[in-house]
Amino acid sequence: MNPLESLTDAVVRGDRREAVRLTSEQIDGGSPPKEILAALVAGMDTVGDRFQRNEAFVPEMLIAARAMTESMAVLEPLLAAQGIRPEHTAVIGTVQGDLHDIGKNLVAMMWRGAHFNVVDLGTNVAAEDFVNAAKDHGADIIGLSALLTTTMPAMRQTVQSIREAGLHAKVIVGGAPITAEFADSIGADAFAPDAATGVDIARKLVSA
Amino acid sequence: MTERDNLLRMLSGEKADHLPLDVWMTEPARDLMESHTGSRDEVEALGLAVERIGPAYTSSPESWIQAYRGLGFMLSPEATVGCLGTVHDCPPAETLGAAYHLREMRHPLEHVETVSQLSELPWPDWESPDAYAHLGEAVEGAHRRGLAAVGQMDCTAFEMAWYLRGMGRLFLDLVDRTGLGDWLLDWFTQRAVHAVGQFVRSGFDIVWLGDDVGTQRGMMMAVPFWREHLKPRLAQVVQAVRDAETSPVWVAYHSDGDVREIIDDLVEVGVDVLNPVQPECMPVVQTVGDHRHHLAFWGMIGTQSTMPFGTPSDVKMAVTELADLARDGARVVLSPTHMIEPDVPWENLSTLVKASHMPLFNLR
Repeated sequence: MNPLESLTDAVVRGDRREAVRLTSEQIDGGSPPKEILAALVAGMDTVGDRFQRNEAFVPEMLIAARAMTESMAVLEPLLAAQGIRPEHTAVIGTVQGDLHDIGKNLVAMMWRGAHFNVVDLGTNVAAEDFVNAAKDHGADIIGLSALLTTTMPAMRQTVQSIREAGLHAKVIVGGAPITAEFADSIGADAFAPDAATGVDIARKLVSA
Repeated sequence: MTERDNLLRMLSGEKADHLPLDVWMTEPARDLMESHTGSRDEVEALGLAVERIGPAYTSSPESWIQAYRGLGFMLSPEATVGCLGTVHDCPPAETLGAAYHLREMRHPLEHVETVSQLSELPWPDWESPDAYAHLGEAVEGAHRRGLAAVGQMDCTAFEMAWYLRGMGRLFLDLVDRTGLGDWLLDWFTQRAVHAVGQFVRSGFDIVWLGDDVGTQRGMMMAVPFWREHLKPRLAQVVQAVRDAETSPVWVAYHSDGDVREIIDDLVEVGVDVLNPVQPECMPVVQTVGDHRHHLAFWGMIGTQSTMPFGTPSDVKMAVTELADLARDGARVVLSPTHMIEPDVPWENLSTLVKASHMPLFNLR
């Protein structure tokens, strides 16, 4: 295993101390920051793949994300110095009337792990707040979450507002009662059944 | 035959007259029920089989607020503090519309760093006899009304610790073995151990435990993780029921989501009844078929599908499917899988109620 692979492995295992140590070592050794970043993102991708296969769960995602976050704190100044910024911005929130945030937080965490710039609007977010935030931040992706069946109409309303505003951002929806059929019926661009799939879909949509 | 008799016969595998019914209502759903029945009491208006009764802990919200302030956690003026320290904020009503009953959970212990900070909080005294003084009379009252008495100890340990600490922090505590997560889980487990003993001695028919550990697509945590951190604690609580009982008391366990991977473990620690068996993520006929030999089932009418979005005939069909299972020997209690939210049409709820009270052998 070469040192960058070891860094990826440390993220996968959620070994934050080792991940930070290897990140610092790579920086000191002159590795290009972009390659170090790619190794960290690869670790999160592996955890995401395992999550999709029910081989990793919420605790494993949390410790991997923590290892990546702490490593990024070391790497970020170099990335900034070289003008390397997240290529894509995602705005995310739980739709109006719904106060649940677990699923939304996991998606935000995984998008950050894929080096998206994530703007988390929280819960109970009105349609116009999604629209305004997407405009303000130049969002490529808007993620809408709902846990309650009672707030599914608010998801529909939010998609409609996004379309009426003429935003170019792609809309991904998810949450316990949401299905692919419902996503289609409200005009969303995609449905994400879980946080890791949300990364795959977001990448696909921004590269389309 | 009273509703209690009917329910206990169903749970025992004896011939029941009809499918026992349990429904959890939100306040907006209760508004709707009142407009149709004139009553806000679902036990009476819907003909439910159970009455739920819990302990009455005493603690001062002001003590919690002061303690939280000392930890640097400030509450908004609208926030409410529960007797176990849980904190809920109340968003402006106009942003919630029909879902005015919702409250936003805060996690006041998210930034706690030491076990002594936890132990110094103004926890209620769960050993105080005052917390349980009302139970005997409440159980007798339920029985007089022909209802089975359910001792509420849901959110047994994991969920209470998560509500206070935050799910992410709690999981990290357990992974990092900081002791903080264990302290919280142990406090709530010991509280539950004591409470269920009181329930049993007060004559309850059913002890209701539960912690959400499932998601729509499987377990929230790996099964070995659950076995290490949560199963032994659940086992302690169930054992306390067994130690106290002089006649059979049913132990029900609630977890949302798909928990098929731990059903055998639940049975192993002594769980008798599984709730809610969400049909959207746990195939009902298959799950019941696989586990009917050692488990009864309580729920199965989907609140993400049939109740809000189905027609009355869909509701009837779902009940009929469960009646078929019951006639075939499965032990089934009918219940929507979660609370009735304001989007459930009254016709669907009234169909559920009517179908549940039809004689089991006529319901086809």
